[in-house]
Amino acid sequence: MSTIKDKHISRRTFLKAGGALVVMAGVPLELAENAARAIAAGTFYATPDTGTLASWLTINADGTVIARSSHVELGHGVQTGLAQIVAEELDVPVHSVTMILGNTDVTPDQGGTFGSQSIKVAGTQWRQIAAEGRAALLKLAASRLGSPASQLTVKNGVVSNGAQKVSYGQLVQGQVLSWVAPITFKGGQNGVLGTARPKDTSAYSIVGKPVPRMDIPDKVTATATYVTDVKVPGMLHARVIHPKGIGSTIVSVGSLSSSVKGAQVVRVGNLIAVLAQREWDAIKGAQALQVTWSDWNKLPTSTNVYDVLRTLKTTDRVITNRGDAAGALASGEQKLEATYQTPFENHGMIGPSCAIADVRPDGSVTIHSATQYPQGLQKDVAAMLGISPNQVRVLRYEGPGCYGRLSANYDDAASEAVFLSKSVGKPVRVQWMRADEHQWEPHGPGTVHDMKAALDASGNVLAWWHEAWMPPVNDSTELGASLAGKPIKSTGLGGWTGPDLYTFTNSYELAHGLPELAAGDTPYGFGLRTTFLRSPGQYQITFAQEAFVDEIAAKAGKDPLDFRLQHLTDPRAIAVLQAAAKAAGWDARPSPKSGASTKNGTVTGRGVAFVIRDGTYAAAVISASVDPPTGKVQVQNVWLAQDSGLIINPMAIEHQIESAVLQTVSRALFEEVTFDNANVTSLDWKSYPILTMADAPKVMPVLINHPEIPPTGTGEPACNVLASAISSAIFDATGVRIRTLPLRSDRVKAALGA
Amino acid sequence: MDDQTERPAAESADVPGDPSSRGDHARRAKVAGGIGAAAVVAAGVAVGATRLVKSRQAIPEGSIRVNGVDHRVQSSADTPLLYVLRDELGLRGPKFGCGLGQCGACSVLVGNKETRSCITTWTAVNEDVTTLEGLAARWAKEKSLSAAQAARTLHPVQQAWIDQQVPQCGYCQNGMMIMAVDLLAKTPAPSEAQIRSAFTNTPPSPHLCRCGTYMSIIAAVQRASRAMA
Repeated sequence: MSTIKDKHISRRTFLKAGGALVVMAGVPLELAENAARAIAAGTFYATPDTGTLASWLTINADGTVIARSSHVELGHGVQTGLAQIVAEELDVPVHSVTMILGNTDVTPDQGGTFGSQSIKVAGTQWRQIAAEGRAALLKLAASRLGSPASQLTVKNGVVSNGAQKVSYGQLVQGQVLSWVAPITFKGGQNGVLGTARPKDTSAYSIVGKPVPRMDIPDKVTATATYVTDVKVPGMLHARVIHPKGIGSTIVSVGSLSSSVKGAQVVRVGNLIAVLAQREWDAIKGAQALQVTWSDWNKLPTSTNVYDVLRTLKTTDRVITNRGDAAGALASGEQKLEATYQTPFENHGMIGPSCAIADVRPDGSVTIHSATQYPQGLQKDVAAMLGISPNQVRVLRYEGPGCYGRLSANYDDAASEAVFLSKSVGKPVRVQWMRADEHQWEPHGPGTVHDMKAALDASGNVLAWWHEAWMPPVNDSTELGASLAGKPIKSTGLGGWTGPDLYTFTNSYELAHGLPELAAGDTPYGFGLRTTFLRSPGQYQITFAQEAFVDEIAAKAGKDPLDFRLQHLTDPRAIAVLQAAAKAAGWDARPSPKSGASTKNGTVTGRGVAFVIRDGTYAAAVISASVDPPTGKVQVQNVWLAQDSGLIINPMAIEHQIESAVLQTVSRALFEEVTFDNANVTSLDWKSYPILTMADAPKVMPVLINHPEIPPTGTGEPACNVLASAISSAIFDATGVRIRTLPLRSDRVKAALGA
Repeated sequence: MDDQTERPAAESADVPGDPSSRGDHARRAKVAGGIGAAAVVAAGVAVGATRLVKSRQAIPEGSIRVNGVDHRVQSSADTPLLYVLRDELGLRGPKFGCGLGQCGACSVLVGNKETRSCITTWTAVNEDVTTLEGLAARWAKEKSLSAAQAARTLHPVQQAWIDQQVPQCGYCQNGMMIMAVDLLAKTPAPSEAQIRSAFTNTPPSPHLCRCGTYMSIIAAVQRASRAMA
């Protein structure tokens, strides 16, 4: 039995078998300052009550490592990426690390899984936490081996002083040790303070390697637990009947026909559902139940929405104001003006929302959810019920891909299940039907962009002007809470995201922030709901920006790649564009190509686009065919270069890029939410078509690694460079610029007038 | 960990309330990827089994045969097969995606044909049903593998899905793998164009993936094709 000399590693229990070192670093915010002061003074702060501390990391006697995070696996590989970071710092095999994700009882709150934050923020925190864990283990080993920690090396979880060896497992064997790592997090960002020095990236052997995703085998063998798989004893199945119009309220409710056995109607305010022990009975009951809703018709339609957006009250924000853009616009020799429009879009989860709530008579609540932010949902549910977050437990499971849909509107189905469960005193599973999801998901907003530019006689850009009309990209409502009369919040948020990219001398960019459509005209506080849809705001801004840059290049008679390179100074920006161009075999020439035509059958073209998103640089070159007689656009090849700093898992990133490209080709070519004055009318996959395999392009990712630069997001950047590149490829092939998404065959055919 | 893998799917679908069991679950994922899928094969035959049957035997009235086992069905006659498989039998492979036959997430094999279980009532099913859980055993039977071999062998389509790292969220991949098995039975060495067509044009609808994995699926089907040749 070793003697633990370091007073800061406390031994709690002796065990006959097993044993562990638990590394804790969940510094409560109120303690952070004290902790920082203590660290600065070179002393350790007192160990806080472990009951209020999150236990981040456990090193077990069998050599395995458990790491816990509020971040969740969305199919993007965060489980594997974080495990790589932990394994790297601890010097253990990556497969000895198990990530426990998204369980509010045991996982410390590192924030939600959205905005490409998991590796950038949580990963950086993990790097430090694991380094602290390694330092603690080395203290134990130094004591055991009688050598100073500075003379010890670690390989595969075995510590050596050159003569003797001891494994991490042996160090903790038979004991329960705890170690409060002296870490504090600065302001919720990725700044993290500690005393242990993480490894130099040049010594990495696990980070940067293509490690197969740990979540995949279970998904392929039907052993993964999706939220839809969870069954709770005594659980009732619920189907909610949603309002007819967005602002409709219940006028009357019929009675359930006796032919639907075992079903009951539950109503809480305007939240109404049919509950049954058997799922099919709940479905039949909900279909059969007559609910009369008040008429409500205060929404613009998807046909006139672009005109309506310009008439709404705006909250303006100047994004860029450099030089004298207005003056330069007036004086330019050549002028360009264009309007771009993007539609309302769906996240389109392939499985509709599903959650289970179990509200117990003793006031405790358990939620089973696929949310992107368990702690966020925990707080919201507590607010809905007027209880403490400590009474709410959220267990997070795999779910259908959500792309932001469960990020800030944490889980609509859970918000409904909570009220239904409380009402019937039993666990309730809410499963939305396909039409519920298509109609009631919080969408991505439609936008309008007025673009202007002026050039001198030799084609130099004198002025750049971009005005955007944008409804909020997020409203943070929870549908069930609002329908049940207990709305917790509704705050329209965001719009323009993304930096000013090019060095135009006179530049003006203005965001007209709009209210959520019809939000002031419903009894619920929400209107046509929105929430973060993969790369929110930036997707729309970059479409208009990059397509218009192509228009300027064409007007100036310049190659669109060269034109961009001439107006960039950031070496990473230039490198990423050049990498995509090199992979694609780009030859310099202006667009449209010679022979561009709408009269000679199928033609082909190319496009290029660039973005900086979440600190990551991405550039795409694409090739596409256009068939003017039918208007069909087929994206054939996409070369996508990306620089996200230090690469954690190149294989996972390549799949992320491919996934982002295909999903965005779908958005750009096919997707548009339609609505009439009452509600959304695109209620299934026929009225809201998405990409099929027949139209999937080939994707050639090119990764640029910068080990010296901290890692940034990889889930969103590639999404931003497809829509404009496709628009530019159509222009290159035909000489016609189409400025409204989606680039659907009917719109393309009409625009080409072939 | 061991007792977890022996549990029938119907029980392991229950709430893993103990956080430690989630850790076990995650570790088991790696086992399944590394040395085979004993858990999967076990689940396919253990769920609510009334009795193991030989495939030539007639399916009794009021029952369905799923992954080689007959099950007496309690649900009403108009219940779609999907709800019987998921709620009565505790299977997780077939998923609810649309209830309209528009996406393919719910697909199962009825006989050898990819079938949408969300729009097919269980009473309309007169042939053996194979779900994702039963693919490995189906392959083992086709290849007359020993029990020991079967225990560590996935269906080549599943193995290809792992090797190509196909899934992102994975929710649609049940239907994609079922479609692949159907396609490869009819067209053992499909071209890329044939694969694209099968996944897009086979009635009643295209198989939809929202995450954008179609190109990985094409590569995985070709990989499985080579493995099965």
